[in-house]
Amino acid sequence: MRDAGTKMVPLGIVAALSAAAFYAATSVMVRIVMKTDVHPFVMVAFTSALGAALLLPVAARGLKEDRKAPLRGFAWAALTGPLTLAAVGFFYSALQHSPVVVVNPLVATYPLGSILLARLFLSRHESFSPSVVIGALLVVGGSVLVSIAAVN
Amino acid sequence: MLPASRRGGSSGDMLGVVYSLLTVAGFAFTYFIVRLATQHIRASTVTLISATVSGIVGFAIVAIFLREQLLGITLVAFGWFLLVAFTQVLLARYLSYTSVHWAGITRATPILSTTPLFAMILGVVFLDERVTPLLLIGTLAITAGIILIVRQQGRA
Repeated sequence: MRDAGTKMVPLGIVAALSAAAFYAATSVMVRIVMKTDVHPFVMVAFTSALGAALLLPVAARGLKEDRKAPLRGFAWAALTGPLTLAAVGFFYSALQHSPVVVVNPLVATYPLGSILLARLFLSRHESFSPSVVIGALLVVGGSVLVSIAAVN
Repeated sequence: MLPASRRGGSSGDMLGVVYSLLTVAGFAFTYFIVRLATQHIRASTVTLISATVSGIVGFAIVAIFLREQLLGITLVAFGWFLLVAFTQVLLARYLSYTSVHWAGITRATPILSTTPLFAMILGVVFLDERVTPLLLIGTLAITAGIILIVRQQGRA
């Protein structure tokens, strides 16, 4: 088991904030690309393949060291590919059937699902103190409000 | 590709809600499984495998159902794909999977869901969008939530 330990938590929070900022920048670019009538799945296929090619030099060293890791680690990783693809596909389908004002606030609640799954299956590895749970609810609630503000 | 509101009928809206909930389930399961995977292998390896499989499955779907779209890809579109790949996969996805490994699902995923806040900040700074009361309340709630999550770590 490779648990990161509590010392890495502050860095993890900085990484999460940076990722959120980069996802926001990406969403602006995606909106520009979508105006050119490119189908979402075409874009996802290209960006995933190109992203994997760009990541290869970064991940190569770790990949060599991970060769002896349990096979299930690789199986779980492989499963995230189609799951991400399905989530993105459902998101675009939702936008085709409902306005953004309905879709975005609903989608912003996904961390609650992740936390519920972690509570059910990973309670030994995750922190569920009242302040973390209240903090998570505040962040998700705030994100829902910002999503509503964004489309209004 | 028209929204249901333009196609008429609340059944379309209901379908949109169902798809939204499926999206929620998709992202929730993705980060849960990322947490399982990073217990055995590095976040960089997980991101590489995830993006490779997404690319293969994505191209298989496109080859079967959207083949004519592949032939219409322009050099400009390809340039955008490269830029999106850099920010979305190399930076955002890699950092998000790393954050799930380092901080755990409970702390990382709520912070990852603050993307709309950053999008609004980009809009206010670069597109002169207005700061509304709802945006301020949402921002305050997010900030308070992050402080609570970080402070708990300080006491751990």
